[in-house]
Amino acid sequence: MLLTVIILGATSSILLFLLLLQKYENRNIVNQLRKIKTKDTNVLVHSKGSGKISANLINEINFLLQEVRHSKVCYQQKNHALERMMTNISHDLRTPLTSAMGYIQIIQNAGLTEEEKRRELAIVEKRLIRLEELINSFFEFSQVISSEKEPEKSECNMIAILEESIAHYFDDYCAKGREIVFQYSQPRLMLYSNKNMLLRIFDNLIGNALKHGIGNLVIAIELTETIQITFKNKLYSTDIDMNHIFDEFYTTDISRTKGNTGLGLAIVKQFVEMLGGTVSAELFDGMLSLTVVFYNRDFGATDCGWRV
Amino acid sequence: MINMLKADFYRLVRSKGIYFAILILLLFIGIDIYSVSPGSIALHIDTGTVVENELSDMTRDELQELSMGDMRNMMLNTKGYALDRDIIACNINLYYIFIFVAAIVIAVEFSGNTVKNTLSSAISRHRCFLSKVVFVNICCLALFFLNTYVMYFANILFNNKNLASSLETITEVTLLQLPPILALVSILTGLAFILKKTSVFNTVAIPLIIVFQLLLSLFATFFKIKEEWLGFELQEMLVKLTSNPSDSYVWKSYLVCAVIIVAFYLAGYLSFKKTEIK
Amino acid sequence: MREIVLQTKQISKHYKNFTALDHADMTVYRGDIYGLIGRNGAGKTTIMKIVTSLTDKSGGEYEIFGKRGAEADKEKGRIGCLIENPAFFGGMTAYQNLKYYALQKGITDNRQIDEALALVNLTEVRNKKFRKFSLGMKQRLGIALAVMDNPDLVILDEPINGLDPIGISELRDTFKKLRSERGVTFIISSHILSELYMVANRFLFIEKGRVLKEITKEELDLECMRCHVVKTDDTKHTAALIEQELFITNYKVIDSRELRIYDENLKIDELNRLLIENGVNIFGIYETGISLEDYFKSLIEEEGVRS
Repeated sequence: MLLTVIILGATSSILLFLLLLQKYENRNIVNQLRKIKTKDTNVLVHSKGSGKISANLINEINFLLQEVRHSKVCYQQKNHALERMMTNISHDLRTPLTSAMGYIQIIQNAGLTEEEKRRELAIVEKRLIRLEELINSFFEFSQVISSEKEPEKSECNMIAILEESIAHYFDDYCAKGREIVFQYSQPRLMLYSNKNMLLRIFDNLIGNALKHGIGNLVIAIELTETIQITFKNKLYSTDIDMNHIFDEFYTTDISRTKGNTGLGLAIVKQFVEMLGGTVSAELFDGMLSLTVVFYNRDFGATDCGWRV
Repeated sequence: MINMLKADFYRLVRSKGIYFAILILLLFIGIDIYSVSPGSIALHIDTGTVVENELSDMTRDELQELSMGDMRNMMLNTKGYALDRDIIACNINLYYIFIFVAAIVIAVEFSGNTVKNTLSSAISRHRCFLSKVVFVNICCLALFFLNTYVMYFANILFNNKNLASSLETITEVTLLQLPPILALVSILTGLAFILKKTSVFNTVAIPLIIVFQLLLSLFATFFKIKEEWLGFELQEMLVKLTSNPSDSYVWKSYLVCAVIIVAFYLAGYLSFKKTEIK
Repeated sequence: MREIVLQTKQISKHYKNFTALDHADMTVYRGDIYGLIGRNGAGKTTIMKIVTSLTDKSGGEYEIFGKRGAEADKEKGRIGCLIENPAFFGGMTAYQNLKYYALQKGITDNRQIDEALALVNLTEVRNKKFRKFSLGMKQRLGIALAVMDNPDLVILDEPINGLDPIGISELRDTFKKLRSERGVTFIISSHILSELYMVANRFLFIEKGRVLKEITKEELDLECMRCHVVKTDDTKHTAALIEQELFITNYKVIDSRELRIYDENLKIDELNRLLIENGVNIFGIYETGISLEDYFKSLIEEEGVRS
């Protein structure tokens, strides 16, 4: 009889203890969350001793807290970058515009000959084209960041697309006494991808090499388990932060007189990743190598993502 | 508080000392059970055992000459007496086990300076002190009860029934001993907080009981202290409380215990509050 | 205004026969990496101990996250620190040591322990007993403990003690990463000026318990940068002259008697002639530009002269 009473007493006091412990723990969590809410802090919620009972709850709360904080930091960084971009863009847009306005003033006021007027107008045209380029670049990039759509895919011949892109810049390179060397081992290399995006990718890479490189640009395309395209050229200035080379708005030229938007390689990275590939950069011995890798989609026995 | 208890427990089970302590505990129990004669590491002031009454036909010298095995056989064949109660009377031995606990939980933190890690996070000194005190008490009490019941059941298992008391009696006797046990723990805890370094703590704590008893006897001889007062020394308390003490003795001895507990905890706390953490 | 994480006002600490801190003032803002520079025994560790309540102050006030006194103690949960030598339990492994403290603080997720170990590159030795650790590993475990609980303020006492150059550089990157990703504020003490210079953005020079100077990195650069010091009795006139006649704009007026010219194209003989012709009295023109150590030494000498 006595034994039963003792056992009952012990059990009920243990249960009571656990109940109180749980209440205490809950109150503790609420207090901590209230304090965390009001401050900008890294501190997470701690348990006050209830062990497994509330540990899972606390872990989930902490996970959410950390996610929120991480988003905040990312948002602040993106915001900061966007602000910088705004300043840069407004300056970039204003420069050719002001310059064009200046020339128009000259045409309107000074007594110029037809010949001179035509010359000045040609310059105005160049400035406006430049302006258009910049605006396109800017809008294209904002489209890229904001778009949620999957790119449309079809069968593309990588070699042909590369050749088309090279053709865009052929004259510019010749004018500088530079060459584009294209190394490939077969006339056709198919990939299930988006032609326009690939074109923009290659355009940006070749254009980047035109602006920042010296000497010849060597493009090599290789087919192993993956499709690897390497763009290699010597650099004018090796003062590049390789960690940030693909960042939006990263340029080495602070004065921006060369007209860099800093978006070129960022667009490359964004597009390549949207097509399911990767891009990497390596700086060795004054030579910059940018490598784009595309993976075949279905590595099955029957259908390959690409065929030769 | 609970967090600190959990953490210290985690550390305790990963230390080697505690297992050593439990081993010694079991060894004591084993020896006592086998030899059917309780013994304690203390000055032999007054045992109060009944052994000699039973075997009055043998002289004391002759008794001491017997080997343990013969002693055992002899005891098993006697009318029997409450062996387990007498073993509990010798619980002063637990003091030496408690030293392990106090050393591992408290002194090691000071020797290794790890206490600064605890104090520089969100735990105040008084909370840290309280947690350590509670933890040491829980551990020592657990060992105390473990000692009683392991001994009790081992006794029933290995010796005759006539050498055992009822479970209720044993529990009652054990509970009676609680205050002096708590007093012992408080002394060790207080000392650990005051002395801090493990080596110093060990040097002082280990001989403390015997030295104290020596001094007490010297005092008693020279200053003619009443016999009755000697009964309030801690080992005496542990012994007397197992053999049907009078009510007045009980509450008087509890009072002494209470004073000891308060004094040592206060001393420990004040010392801890004032220390410069290296 | 940036949030003030720690501010001390006239903090003092006296021991029986010497003064560890003598009316020290310092201010640490959110996101700072604040360097405490001083010789051994200057008082750097003492400040840290007072702020983490390991020791009591003898006088003055301090505010942690804007709170003082008893409320400041509640804010201790937001601080992680490594003060003096890292202390852990020799018989337990690195992981177990951190787990002990995780239990103490009520950290429910064991991944925080793994993350802390990874941050200081101790993941491979997580199951090694602490007593077998080298000095550098012990140091790193101490730092791991300091950052394990997601603090807002990390106080480190000579953290690069015992680390090899790669370890130091990795630690530097870790500090910067924590600062940029999580807005963690650091207070780091060292007597290796060059290392602290690379990572901190504000400095406190302290000697014999007294604050010599509290200065930002930009200001420190200016003070140490190579320049010509011109001591005259009329710096305003001097400034006007060098601007108009010598077309020098890269200069700084320090006070009514001293002017510093950072322009490298300065010709001293021209300057000399110009000033004399215009009736300005020159007390000295000399070139200066000092190393950090020399700057520190000069501060100590000034202090010695003053006291």
